[in-house]
Amino acid sequence: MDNLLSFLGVNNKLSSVDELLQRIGSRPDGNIWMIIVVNIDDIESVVLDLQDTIVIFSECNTGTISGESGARDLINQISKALEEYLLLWQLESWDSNEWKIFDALRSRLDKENKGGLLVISEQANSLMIHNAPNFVSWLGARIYYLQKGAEILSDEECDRRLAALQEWTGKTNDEVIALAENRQLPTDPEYGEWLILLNRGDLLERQK
Amino acid sequence: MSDKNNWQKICAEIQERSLGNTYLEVKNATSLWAEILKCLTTASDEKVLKAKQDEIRKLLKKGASSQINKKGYSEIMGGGKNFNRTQDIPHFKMHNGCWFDFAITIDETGKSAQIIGFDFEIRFPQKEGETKVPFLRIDLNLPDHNNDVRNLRFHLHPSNDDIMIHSPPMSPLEILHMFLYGINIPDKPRAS
Repeated sequence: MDNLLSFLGVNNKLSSVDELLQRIGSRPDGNIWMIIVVNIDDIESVVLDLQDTIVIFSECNTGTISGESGARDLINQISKALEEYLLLWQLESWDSNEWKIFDALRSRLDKENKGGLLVISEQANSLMIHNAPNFVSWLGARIYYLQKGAEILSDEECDRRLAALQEWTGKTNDEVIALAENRQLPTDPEYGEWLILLNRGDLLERQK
Repeated sequence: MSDKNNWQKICAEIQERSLGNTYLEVKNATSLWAEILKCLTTASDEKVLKAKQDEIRKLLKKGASSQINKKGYSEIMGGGKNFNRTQDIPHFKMHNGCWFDFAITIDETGKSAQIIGFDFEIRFPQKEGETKVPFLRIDLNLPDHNNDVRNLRFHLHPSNDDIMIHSPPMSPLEILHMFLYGINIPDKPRAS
């Protein structure tokens, strides 16, 4: 199995949410399924974000289906679903047997639509890899591990914004804090941003 | 009423009309971020935008508002702050020689999310002999900004930081589309 995974290149393939969305947007037409492996504590928030964003990239009706009632129920829900692209989640309670059932019924995932995405934990991913080999083979290399927070501004980027503010005004951080403490801060919103970047957002309240 | 007072009244009417007709309500900040990501990715695929998909991801960020220090205020940033219009600060480059950046503030404290501020600036290729970078900036200042009192909260700067005129009722996505597809840079400038 490990050789198969290595061959498919699914080990440690990181993807941020924005990269995943771009992949969904540029996928070829047809019944394409992908997996995103997420920390179990983050699954709900990731699914919520994906519900709001996948539709923009899939460019079709998108539905969310829970697997909490087992593999057969999930497959039945997929068969009845009217949406063209599906987001599957809550597969964490599945044991080996549920994944074997899912694997046996995998042909019912092909509705001549646009496929979908499974959001699963590392543990569920491991059970899937060992008990649903045909589905995994069908996925090919499309198993990704979520790289969380790549779309959020980094500390380095915050420092760059501070440097730009300093260059723009010719003032130092200390001078801006002194102006704010003396309620002499100019009203330009950039000064507000400056204080927040310095973790001195408390001084903004004093300006009123 | 003096002409100046009359102009101030006109300004109030223009601002009300312009803001009232601009799509500022969004589902949430994440949806708007994804719409922008899609728009930029498509422009890259269409060879309008020079940035590749991974470069777009590096330039487009979201997070808590850097201007309002309260829970529920978000920001979407495309490129870095660039007050002096220098090329060494991260920005989006286009194949026609233009380059731009933007920032958007979203209020997610209410039932529906509202865009409450933004700045979009596009810079045009410099012509021979031009010492300053020509640009167009469209700003929606945050509520209670000085310009709100002057009824110029929503304005544009036509290549001059000191000159402000009312903006047409364009949403951030519409402005982004205009930057990408709506500005034609002619090979030969029109004869004056």
